[in-house]
Amino acid sequence: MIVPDPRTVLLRSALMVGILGASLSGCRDELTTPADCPALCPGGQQPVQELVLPATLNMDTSYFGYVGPGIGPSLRISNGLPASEDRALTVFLPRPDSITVNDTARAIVRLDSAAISLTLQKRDTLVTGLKLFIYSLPTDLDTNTTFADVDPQFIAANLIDSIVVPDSLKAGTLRAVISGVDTIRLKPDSIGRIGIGVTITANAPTGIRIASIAATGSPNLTSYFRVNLPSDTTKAKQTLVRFPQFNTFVSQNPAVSDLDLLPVGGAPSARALLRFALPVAIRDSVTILRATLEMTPDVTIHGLPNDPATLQAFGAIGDLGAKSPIISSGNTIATTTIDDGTSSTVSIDITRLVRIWQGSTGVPQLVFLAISPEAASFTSPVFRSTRSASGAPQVRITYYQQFPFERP
Amino acid sequence: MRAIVIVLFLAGIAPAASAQSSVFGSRGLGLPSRSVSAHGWGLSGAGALFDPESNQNPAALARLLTVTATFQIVPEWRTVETPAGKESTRLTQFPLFSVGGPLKSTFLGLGVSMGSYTSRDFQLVSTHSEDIRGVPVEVIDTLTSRGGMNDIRVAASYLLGPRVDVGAAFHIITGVNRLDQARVFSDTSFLPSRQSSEISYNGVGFSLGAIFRPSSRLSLAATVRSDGKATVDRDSSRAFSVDLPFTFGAGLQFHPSAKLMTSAQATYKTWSGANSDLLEQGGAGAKNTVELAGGIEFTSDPRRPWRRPIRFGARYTQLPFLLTTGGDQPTEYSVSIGTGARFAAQRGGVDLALEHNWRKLGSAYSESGWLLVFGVSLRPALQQP
Repeated sequence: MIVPDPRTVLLRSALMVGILGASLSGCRDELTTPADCPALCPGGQQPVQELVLPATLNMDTSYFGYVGPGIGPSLRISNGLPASEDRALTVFLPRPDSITVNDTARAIVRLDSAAISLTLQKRDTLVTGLKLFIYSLPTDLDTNTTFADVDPQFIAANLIDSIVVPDSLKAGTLRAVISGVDTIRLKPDSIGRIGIGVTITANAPTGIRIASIAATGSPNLTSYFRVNLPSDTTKAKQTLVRFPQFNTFVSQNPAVSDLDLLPVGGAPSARALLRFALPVAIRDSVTILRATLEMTPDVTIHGLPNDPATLQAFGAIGDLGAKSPIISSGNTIATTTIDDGTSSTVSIDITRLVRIWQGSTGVPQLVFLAISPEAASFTSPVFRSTRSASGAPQVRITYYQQFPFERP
Repeated sequence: MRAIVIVLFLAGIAPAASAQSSVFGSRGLGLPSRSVSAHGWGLSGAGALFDPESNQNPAALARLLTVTATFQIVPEWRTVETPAGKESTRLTQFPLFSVGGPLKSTFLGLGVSMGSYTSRDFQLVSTHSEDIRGVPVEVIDTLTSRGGMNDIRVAASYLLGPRVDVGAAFHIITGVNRLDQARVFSDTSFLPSRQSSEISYNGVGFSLGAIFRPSSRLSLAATVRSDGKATVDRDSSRAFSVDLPFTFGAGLQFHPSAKLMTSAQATYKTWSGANSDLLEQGGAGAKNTVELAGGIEFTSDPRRPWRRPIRFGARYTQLPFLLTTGGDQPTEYSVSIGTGARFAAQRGGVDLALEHNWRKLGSAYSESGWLLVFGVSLRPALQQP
């Protein structure tokens, strides 16, 4: 038997390991090479092209009544704001005549004090000297109540209290405490409900948004009172918190709808529906890089300065007019902000939405426009439509053709 | 039975076959591949017309003593320089699988092989600026291609006598080229995009070959091959058809001594037949190619020539596909060194080769690469004398 030389065995082993290592190191392919065209660009470089697609004539419109005032997350209050003049109204749930203490219903014998809490959501931080005034109002407020119905009652005789808002406070809880004889300013109705209205003043025309019943920090009324329990003075002191039974806001000059225009927002809110007809060539065989919906305001858009609204664009899974079910998938919802004083074209990137119009998905080629927060923002733009003399809605589509992979 | 298992094994991994990565493979039908065994690679392909484990000459099959299966792994490291910059690449290839052997009690040899015909393995990144919506935006395009054309050969050979072998083969040319184009923009408000497609190729060809041994020291070989036309489909739709070349090859082997063997061969391919088809499709065109190769093999033990021989080779070839219409033809030079050994009573074998090659077009485009060729051969039914 021939015994191999150990050095030979070692050499062979090292050689095999080296070859194996070299082979394995090449297993992860890296092919990237810098290319210059046209020599190293089979298929060439597809030029980027652009198409301006107007909305389909007379197939655009606005629908109203989606979200009413008070249903949205905010109550609007303003004073002299060009966008609108608003008052916030709230009716608190009834406060009972008696409450149960030690398993016995005990009559409320005295109201020591009460606190009305409001949550400031947004203000124009550049306006100073903000002050809220809380008035007592009748409790028969409802969705039919108008500005004219309640405005005469915002008088000194009905004033419950006022809150001075520090200039440094951008958002947070505001509290008015009424105690002693002032508690008679709270005027409960026959079943214990209390209605209030809120206005503001400031060093300049301005507005604020406070939380509604639909949001965190809705208005509430905390009552500190005594019940008939002479034997236990500690338990005789009770506290009760009442939240709104109803809240809304009323505007002095609600928008008047013009069917030849496309209002969006407001309260009750309006949404605009635009329809498009994507050319077959775009629908079937191009790659869309960017699609921008361009809307022309008919008049300057007013809102609350430093509180921009969000214009949202949705697709729909079926075209059922006002009740078209919208696509709620996050990446197809396009948004842009609208500042107070906007008068130029409003552009909103709807690329992902237009991309799903391509192919044979059956998704209707329409766009719903809404304002967020709906029925809460001061901003309610009115855009030109296809019936306007100019400035009809359009989508600017940037795309390139299919790559000619087969070109040798 | 074992031979069948090996064939099935090879068939299973065959779709992974590919060949060399190169920017010169980005145009036309890609970079033509070399269907040469690891043994032949050590000679820079110079002895491939006599090599039964290569698939260049069907007549060579006649000299296989037993059923033999071979396959190769070829990692490659390359540096590419274009006017757009310099970059290093790496790739692993499996360029040739073959199974062949004699038919018992006859003078016939049969073989099946699958190799790469052309390779389109590349990834090209280019940038340019384009005015989009009135603003210049930088556009970055990445074109990735994997795959290419493959050559499945069914061959038969016949020993006409002690001095003459002849053979014929039927070739199926097939393969898929997967392409992916991605585009991103410096302005991220333009969404990145990606397009993909599959290009498939289909064609048939045939080849004839002969080996003549006028003396014990000298052997001559010749082959001719026609590949007809290939159809090119994009995603199952007919895109175009393209003429594939005729191939004419001739080679000689000379043994000055028992320990030394020299080989030389020349191959001519009529790729210009594809020129008009490619130009019609917007390509840059093609030209005929000449390939010349020479090699020396030194064996220390003539009775056991497989025991660590030393092989050297050098090669020159023209590349068929132009980068620009009417432009110059790229060229390639390579040198190689190799060796090999057999074990397990010659039933198993390994061959190694290391090749350094250079490709060039003018002063603008060049690349150089190192290829480590690792070939394995199995002869499960080999009977010892």
